[in-house]
Amino acid sequence: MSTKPNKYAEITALFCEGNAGNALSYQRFLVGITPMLRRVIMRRLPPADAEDVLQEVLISIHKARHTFDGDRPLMPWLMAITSFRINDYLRKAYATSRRETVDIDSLADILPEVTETMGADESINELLADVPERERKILTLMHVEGFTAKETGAKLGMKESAVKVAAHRAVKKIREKMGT
Amino acid sequence: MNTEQLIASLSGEVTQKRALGKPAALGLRMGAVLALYGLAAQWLLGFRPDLAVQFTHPLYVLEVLLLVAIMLTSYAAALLTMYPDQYQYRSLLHWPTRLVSLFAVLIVVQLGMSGPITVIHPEGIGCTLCIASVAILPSAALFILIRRGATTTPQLSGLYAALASCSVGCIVQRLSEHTDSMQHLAGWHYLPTLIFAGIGAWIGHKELKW
Repeated sequence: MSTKPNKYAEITALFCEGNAGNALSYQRFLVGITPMLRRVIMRRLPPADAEDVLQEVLISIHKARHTFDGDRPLMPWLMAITSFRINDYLRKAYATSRRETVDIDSLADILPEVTETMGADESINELLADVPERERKILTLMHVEGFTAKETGAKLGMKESAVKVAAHRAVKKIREKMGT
Repeated sequence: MNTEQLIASLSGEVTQKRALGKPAALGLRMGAVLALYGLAAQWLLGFRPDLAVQFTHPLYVLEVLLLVAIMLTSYAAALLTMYPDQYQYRSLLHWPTRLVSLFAVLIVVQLGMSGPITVIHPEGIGCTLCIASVAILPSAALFILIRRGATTTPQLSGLYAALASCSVGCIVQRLSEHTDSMQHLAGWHYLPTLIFAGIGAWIGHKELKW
């Protein structure tokens, strides 16, 4: 059985022979590194995508083989290409998932019913019942009909500051009633 | 196609491919060409008449030396990025950024010494265009060279290629221009250089994929 350093030396020698044009050595090299690359890829990617990325890595090794001259360890060179292609794949996958949209109608059967019909007794009038008449009018004009404090004051014959104070007091009473 | 078929296909088309060679040998060959180019650019622009006097000023000398160091380390880093594993000299890739940081400190110190910042005159754009003109050919040459490799850091390759080329422009300009206003130099020489380096990174991202 080969020890670890001998195993890499054999693989490196096969690769260098393949680079020199020996097709058989090159094939033995690719067959030899495939299981190791597959393990590395499957540590980071789902199994469904691993084989595609493995093939990308093998093609990249083939394209970049002229950048290895045999004078340095082979594994860092292989791992650099493998990491590069894994990161490339992940970048594309994230970009695609951000662009894709899902038609919400297709989820209608899956999503739970999150809205409820408001019952007759669930009305804002209940909250306003204990609020004095004048403050009730102020809240209705400002928060239901959308008038500003100045406009509300003009309608009711009050100063703007008085409207604001009255609205504040009314909201405080409602909060106390709701227990918040 | 499954993996076994792919392996058979790749093995079938393998031929002896000319190796890229070692980065040192590649660097010396390309470096000789770039050095000649830099000298030619300097000869065209000339030297400032008080250059000998300027070389007695420590800050001027330090500035020029740092520019030369940035040029050399960026060039070396750009060459190393041609290899997927940076020829296993990955630590050298950090040197350009360290030197640029040191250079930035030097510029800021000199800016502080030069007094309050005044309006930067728009005529200075000529210096920026001069640096860009000097940098274009070496940038293009470096990009073409890097494409022959297989970079796993295309943005970094582009950034260092542009930085090295613009450093040549900055050195040539600094040795020829009779201006020592640090506000002018920072605004029209060095800041545009950083911007060009950023553009180089963007071009690298687009053009150096393989």
